[in-house]
Amino acid sequence: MTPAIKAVDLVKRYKKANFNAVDKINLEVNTGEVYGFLGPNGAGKSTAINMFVTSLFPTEGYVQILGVDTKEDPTEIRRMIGVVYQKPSLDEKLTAEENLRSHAVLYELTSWSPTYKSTSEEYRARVEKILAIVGLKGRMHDIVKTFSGGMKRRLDIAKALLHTPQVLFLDEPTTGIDPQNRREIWGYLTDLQKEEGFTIFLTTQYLEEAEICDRISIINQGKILVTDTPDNLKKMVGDELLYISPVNGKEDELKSELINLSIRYQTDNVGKFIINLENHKAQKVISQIKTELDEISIKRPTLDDVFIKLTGEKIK
Amino acid sequence: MSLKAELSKTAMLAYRDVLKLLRDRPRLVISLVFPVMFMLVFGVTLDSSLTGLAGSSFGALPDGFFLNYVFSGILAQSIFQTSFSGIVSLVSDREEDFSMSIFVAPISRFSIVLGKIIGESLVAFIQVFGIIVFGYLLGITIPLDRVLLVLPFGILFAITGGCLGLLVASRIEGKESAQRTFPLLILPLTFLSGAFTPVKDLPFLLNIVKSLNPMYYAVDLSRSIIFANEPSLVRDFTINNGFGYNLIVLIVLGISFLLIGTFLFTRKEGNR
Repeated sequence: MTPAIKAVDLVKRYKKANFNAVDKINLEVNTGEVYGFLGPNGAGKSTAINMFVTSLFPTEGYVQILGVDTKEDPTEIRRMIGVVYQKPSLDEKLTAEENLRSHAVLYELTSWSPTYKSTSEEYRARVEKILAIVGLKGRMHDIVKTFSGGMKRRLDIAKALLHTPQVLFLDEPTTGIDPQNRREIWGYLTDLQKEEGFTIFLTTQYLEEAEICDRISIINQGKILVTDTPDNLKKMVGDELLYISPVNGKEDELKSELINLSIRYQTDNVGKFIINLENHKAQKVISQIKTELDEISIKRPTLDDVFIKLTGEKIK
Repeated sequence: MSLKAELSKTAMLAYRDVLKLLRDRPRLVISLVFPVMFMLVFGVTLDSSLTGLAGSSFGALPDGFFLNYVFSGILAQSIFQTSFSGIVSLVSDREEDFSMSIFVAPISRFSIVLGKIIGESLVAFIQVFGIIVFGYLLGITIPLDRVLLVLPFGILFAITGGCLGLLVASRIEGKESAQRTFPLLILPLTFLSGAFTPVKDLPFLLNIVKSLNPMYYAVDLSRSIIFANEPSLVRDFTINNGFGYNLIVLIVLGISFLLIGTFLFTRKEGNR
């Protein structure tokens, strides 16, 4: 099957720059996949996405979107993709629907018309559906300026999905959005993705956002350091660990119990028992233990740990 | 891509500009502040200080002449400038707000430019309506039919201004550099256009700049219509080139700017 995105030896060096903003990137994103670039500011994420969406041409190498080269037929690609930028690309003085209508005219869902009523039926059905999904149907005819940041973001995403694109690009889509709104937005997106089957490519600095991806490339200084599933990446820096500590005086009881259950453990310097969860399920371990415990916790490796391991620095 | 669909997209871009202006009352008011201020500063003050000078050639000019003079210049200058700055901001704001989503949409670059020029022209015409009303309130004595006769040529001013904007924008990188360069360009263009003060006899170098300044021909074209029926003293003072000459130069400049600007702009697109 033709990959949704294919980049080969992709290089971008801006005019007058003395380094490559994107430095020999190779990747293939499958159709229907959720794929992310995770990296700090200035890593080259936005430059790469701008080349994918035909805003920038590569200095070397090439990009194909659904088999079409970005340099050869950018207009054909533009028809097939949706783009959400870091900052909402909305006209604040227009209503939500007027913003969508402008967009729909550009994508030929309807001809230009000064009123909503005289637009195409196809367009109106799509607008109502998509606004209902992002929870803005009731605010359809309100001026965008009156919207909160989260609402603008939702409208912006609705706009990018209005023309049912096959590949949706999101460049740091939830920067400056609070975690609750961020989760909601990802809820809408993944629901709609299940229904319409589009491919998602996103860039982010947020580790929790990267975790919704099927695969992630960690990118730094224009280069891909590693590409894998979030779980596999986290395994690079160690396994999930279960920390338990018994109530005072019950240490020996817990030790013998764990030995009987043949669960291997270590103890740390404050007397907590550490159980590697690679071969055990936390739930099962806990349910088997009869010794009274006063602390239970799980420490999961994070993508931050992965990034630190790969680059020696923290993201951001 | 069909022509009908492209026209529809162009109409949408133009309509959006007008709608945004009509929804933005403060901007409507502010857009009138400068033209009215210039009419007051140049028109009214020159009238009260110059026309009375006995024995000078100004003394022979009719009362209230300079207000008419500045009004006829501002009419052309404001249409030209609105369209010029609209196109510059479209391109330099590419990294901001809605502009960027237009540039990744399936629309030809030419339609984007054309839609924006038409939109900014309509915006300019709405502003011009206000300028005309204020002009009469301040006391211009030009017959209304003369003023209205200039307006069809306003479309040419807007297109030439927009095309010059495109040419400039295609050479500018980013918003900051646009903000720095813009006054450096628009102020000499405006002051050497003759909109506010006569530019008939200028030193050699300034004369060259004037001759290359499309706004100068727009202003002179406006005056060649407005003062056509005035006595020869007034005509000699106000009109530098004839109507036909201005028209031809504007058309030639407009077409050249459009071709060169569109070429540079589309070539630069993506090759930043």
